[in-house]
Amino acid sequence: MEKRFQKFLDKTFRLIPKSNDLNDLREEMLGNLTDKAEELKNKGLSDDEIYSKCIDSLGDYQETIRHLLKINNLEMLKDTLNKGNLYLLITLLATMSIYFIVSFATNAWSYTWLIFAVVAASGFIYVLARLSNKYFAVKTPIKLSVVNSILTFFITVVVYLGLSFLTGMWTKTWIIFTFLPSLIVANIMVALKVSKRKINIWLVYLLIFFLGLDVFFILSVSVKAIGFGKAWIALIIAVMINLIIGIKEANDKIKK
Amino acid sequence: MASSDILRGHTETIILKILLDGDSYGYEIAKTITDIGNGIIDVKDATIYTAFRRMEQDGLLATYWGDVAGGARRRYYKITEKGKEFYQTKAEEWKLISEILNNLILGE
Repeated sequence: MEKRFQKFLDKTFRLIPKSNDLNDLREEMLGNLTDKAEELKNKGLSDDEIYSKCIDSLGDYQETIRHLLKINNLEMLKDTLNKGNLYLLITLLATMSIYFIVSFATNAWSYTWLIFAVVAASGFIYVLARLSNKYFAVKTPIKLSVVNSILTFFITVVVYLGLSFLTGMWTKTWIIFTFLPSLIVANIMVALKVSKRKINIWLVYLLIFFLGLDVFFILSVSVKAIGFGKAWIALIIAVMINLIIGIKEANDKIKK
Repeated sequence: MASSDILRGHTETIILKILLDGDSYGYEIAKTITDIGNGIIDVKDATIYTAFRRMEQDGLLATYWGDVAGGARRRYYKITEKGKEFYQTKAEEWKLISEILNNLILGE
């Protein structure tokens, strides 16, 4: 029974960052579950009944976990602000010293004030990085896929502009954007994989279809001999691959 | 079975009352509440866990790890002086409120 509880707790605490508070809660939960199981066992209940009754008696434990995470975040923020004040003072003094030393040494007063702008910008980036780091301590597939998709979009725009300016082939480079759907689906699949969640079979169908679409655009835009008139065969092939996978899936299910 | 709505707002006072009789741990406290609740009042573990954390933060109770029970340690709770004062205030408040509620719901 204890192994089953351990497994349940592993699952519950899997995506939650480790902290002393949460480890304590976990151990406390295990102790109470074991006690309750012992009581129910003496009443002569079966193992399955004991397990489901014990888990049911927990109630909305996610609420407790959220409560603890909130305390953690708050303490982190307080900590950062306290440390932040000290860092701020040191940075200010250091920046001033560097400003005066460099300015007197080079006599380039019209440029040296930029030191302040650079330091302020780095401070801002540092705080943002700290906060986002904390935010992503709990990685959910949704958070991961949204961020990755936004990143993918920006990278695509940069690659598009870079390629277009370098090669001057504006009439062809736009097809990069048609890759976005398949890249986003791939992102979602990677995020699920990283979070050890099950990947829905419909995502696979979607990915294969979008990949077919990519091939369609590449062939029709870049290979003159094929063109739009024939390239749609790529889509048919993608649909057929999906059908084959679908039939195989259905077969496996029937076997089970 | 009555939902935990009835307990809401009183969970802390009830836990403090139980701890006045001696240090205890989650399972025992939950069991005391359900036993006295006579099958009419039920309390979920999560409600108690959240209350413990809040009360610990407010300094109403202290905690320590106890003996091992079948592979897991028990986390004990102890009422503090502040907790005792808080309980007294709440108990007085309840005496007044319960009287008024009685009159309001059942009539004089």
